[in-house]
Amino acid sequence: MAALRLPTRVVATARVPVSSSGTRAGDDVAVGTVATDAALRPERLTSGRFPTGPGQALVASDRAAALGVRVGDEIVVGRAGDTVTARVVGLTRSADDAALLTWPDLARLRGDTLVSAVVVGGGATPADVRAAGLPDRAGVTSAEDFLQHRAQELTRGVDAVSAVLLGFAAVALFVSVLVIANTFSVLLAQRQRELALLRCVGASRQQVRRSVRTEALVIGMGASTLALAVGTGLGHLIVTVVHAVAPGAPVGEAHVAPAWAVGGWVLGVLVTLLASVVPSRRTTRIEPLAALRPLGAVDPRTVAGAGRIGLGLVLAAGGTALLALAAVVHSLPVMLLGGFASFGGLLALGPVVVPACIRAVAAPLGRLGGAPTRLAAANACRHPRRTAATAASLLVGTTLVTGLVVGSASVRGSVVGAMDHDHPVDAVLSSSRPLAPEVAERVRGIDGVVGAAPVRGTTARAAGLGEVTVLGAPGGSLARGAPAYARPAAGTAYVSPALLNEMADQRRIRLVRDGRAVTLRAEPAPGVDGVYVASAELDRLGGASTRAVWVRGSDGRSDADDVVAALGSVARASGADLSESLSDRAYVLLQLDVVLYTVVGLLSIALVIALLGIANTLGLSVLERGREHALLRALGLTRGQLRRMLAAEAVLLAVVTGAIGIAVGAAYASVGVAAVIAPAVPDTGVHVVVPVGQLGLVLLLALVAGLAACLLPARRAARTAPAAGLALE
Amino acid sequence: MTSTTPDPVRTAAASARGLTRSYGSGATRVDALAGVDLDITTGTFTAVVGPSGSGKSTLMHCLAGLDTPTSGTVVVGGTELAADGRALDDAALTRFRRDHVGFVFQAFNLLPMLTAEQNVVLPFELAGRRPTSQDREWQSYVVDVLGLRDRMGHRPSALSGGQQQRVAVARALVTRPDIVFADEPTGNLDSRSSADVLGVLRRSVDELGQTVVMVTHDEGAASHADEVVVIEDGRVADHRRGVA
Repeated sequence: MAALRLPTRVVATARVPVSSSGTRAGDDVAVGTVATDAALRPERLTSGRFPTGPGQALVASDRAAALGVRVGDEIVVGRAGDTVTARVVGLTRSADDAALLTWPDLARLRGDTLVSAVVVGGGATPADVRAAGLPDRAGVTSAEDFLQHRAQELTRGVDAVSAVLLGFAAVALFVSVLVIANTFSVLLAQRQRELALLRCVGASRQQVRRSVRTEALVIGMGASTLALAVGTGLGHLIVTVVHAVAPGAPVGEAHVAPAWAVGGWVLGVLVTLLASVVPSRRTTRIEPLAALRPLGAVDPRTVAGAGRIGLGLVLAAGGTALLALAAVVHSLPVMLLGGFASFGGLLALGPVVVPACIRAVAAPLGRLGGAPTRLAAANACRHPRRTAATAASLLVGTTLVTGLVVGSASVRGSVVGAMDHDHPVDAVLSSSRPLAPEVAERVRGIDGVVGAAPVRGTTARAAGLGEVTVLGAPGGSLARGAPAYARPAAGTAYVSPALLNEMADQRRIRLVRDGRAVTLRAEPAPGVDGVYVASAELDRLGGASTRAVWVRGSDGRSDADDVVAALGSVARASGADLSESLSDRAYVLLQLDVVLYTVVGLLSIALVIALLGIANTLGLSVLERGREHALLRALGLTRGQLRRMLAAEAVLLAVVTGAIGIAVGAAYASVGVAAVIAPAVPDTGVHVVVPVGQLGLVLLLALVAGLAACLLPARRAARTAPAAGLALE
Repeated sequence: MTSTTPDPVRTAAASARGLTRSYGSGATRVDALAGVDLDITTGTFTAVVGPSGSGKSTLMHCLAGLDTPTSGTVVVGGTELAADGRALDDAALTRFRRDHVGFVFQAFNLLPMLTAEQNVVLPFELAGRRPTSQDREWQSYVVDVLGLRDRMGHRPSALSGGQQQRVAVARALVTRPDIVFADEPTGNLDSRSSADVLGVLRRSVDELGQTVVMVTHDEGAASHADEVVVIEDGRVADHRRGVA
């Protein structure tokens, strides 16, 4: 391999421990290669220089902080008996690899090394490389092919992201259809007299319907054009801002794909037309002389109302049954079918369910809030179908958000349970020699450490294992998930799986020290090094002193890397080895949080559209009720009370809908956990976790959204003088 | 008796002095009221009549605290609503209307989502106070006088036009206001219902001692009143007393 004089770069990774003066960076971390040839080296340095040959290494700057490594220090890469030592010559900004070695060094590690490609450049061909005698476990690629391959991989990733984004766009479009259809319904209801007048002067039903649909088409085209312009402008703006704020950021130029632009425009027009279908069909029922009748509420006794309610009941009952079935037979398709059916049923039953819930909530509130609240509740329920349609858009958003929040919390609980099982103790400082008593004190003083306790131990011989460290657990609540070895039972030894594997008789262990021997029942103890026994057994062996310190990190937001770095410096100062799972734990939880917040962020677009829908409906209702408001003002309703009345109406609608969405979303998440997630992790199991705080936040956001939605309509309503309002015809 | 009272502004239920109300400015300026002096006698039924656009509705709005005069003085029930171009602010005017004035409008008197009973007690609700036992007795009496006892649980859509107006009258009377303003209360009614509503207003003056001001362009309706004020071009053209 040293014979390789061609400009080549072997792309390889190994997952091995990396340590520096006894401090280990997590369990196994990725170690990659760095080329000595500048032309084949995409990495960027944050300090130091690039390796010029074997024995030199780069370390990722965030890991360097955790390890306490500076340029010039030595790092040890690999497992016991299979290590490579290299001097750190530079720090780099690497997302994937904790450390980068030259290929000859990495190739010296016997196991665990995965070579993904060998890249050649500078005019050399793959054949030259093979002739130079490269390890046959690697495929050889020219630099051009390699780049093309990596580009394809990256593009596939981008395509997947696009697909997910389009999924959320579809949710947003669905909510838009609900909002647009509702707005059309309200507008056409208010225009009933005009449309009836048109019918009086000779317009046919078809002509009236066509005029309404033409209007929808024109609005859809106008809005789509505007949206296209604003969206494109926003894209350019974001790219420009990113370039200005972070000049080195990996963001290309803004680019408009004509097919997407045209497709988006057509989709916008189609969605608007689709939303106008039902409301415009309703206009054909307008009788020429029915002009003066006000819009009636949906009446369960009428045929259409009964049909809708019947359909809703069937869908809700059938969907619920399917969901129950899905939870039992663990079937995703059955769950999706049940979910769509039951949600459709809920939307169909909305005119009954939503007003009933609003009345139930408003009754006690009305006693506190006085006349404005009682009037608001009556107003919110006077057009049940309109109320339900307005609620529907918000219901979609809150149900999805709640489902994700509850599902994510449940998965998180499951992951945390698995991590607690594998790594019950966050960090252990251990040494083969006695540790000074103040080490635990110093560890306790670190910000982000909630507890630390010295662990007594000694060294003993065991058959087939040689010298092993025997420790007595400190008890207390330092270990997560209360593993058995944290409170060892008398007569039992808890042995690390690595040691257990090397024992001839895995049920029994005989420990000998200075002629004193104890024979104990052996139990496997995942996530520990050495052997843990009860205090009495340790005293029988004799010679016990502080050999380790158990550390419990906080679950708060303190930076795990900082804590690990501080632990590392204590460990180095006291000559102890550090092994920790804090950084891995923080990393995994961060990944879960990032996914959750990204998805909730994308769904919030649907919530914003729903909010606009509430504002829209309320605004139109305020226009419709101009005379009523004037009458109330004449009778002594103050401006403040009028504003409070409209605010209460919007908030009642938003909060009650939010609460329904939270209940339904949590139920869906429970089914999802039982049907899909639990079968995927049969070992650890998963429980439904309802994060009350986050769901409270969803409800609070619904409340704020309701208040925001009523701002403009309430302002306009309150500005109208009572005399002017009475003059409205 | 008003003629012998030295200071009519203090004893009248409502008084206006030099009342003007203009809309717009410059060339588009319209003087709806061009200097009105008027006293409404306590405990009488006064009809304000005049052709369309004469300013009679504007006069009522200014007297009732629904609109703010451009200049002049308005005193109602001892409260100075406006003087020398200064007027009470919106919140004070609102409280004044709530506590001192009852209204009956031509249409849209009742809130459609509330029952007749809820509409009648709305003024108490808006004031945020519980009706006292006296209030409830009075309410019960008014409802009986107006013959609404068996209609109180209905929503407005289930009541006839005449019944709706009687509910509106009940609401106007229930707080025992200093003055009740009725703006074309019979405008949307047939002749039988009109007579019915006018009779009710008449009885509220005679039997309950209420002061009622009714704006109307219907001379027949005006014939039920004690006094008739004729408005033409924003001025009082005639004030006939002791008509009924």
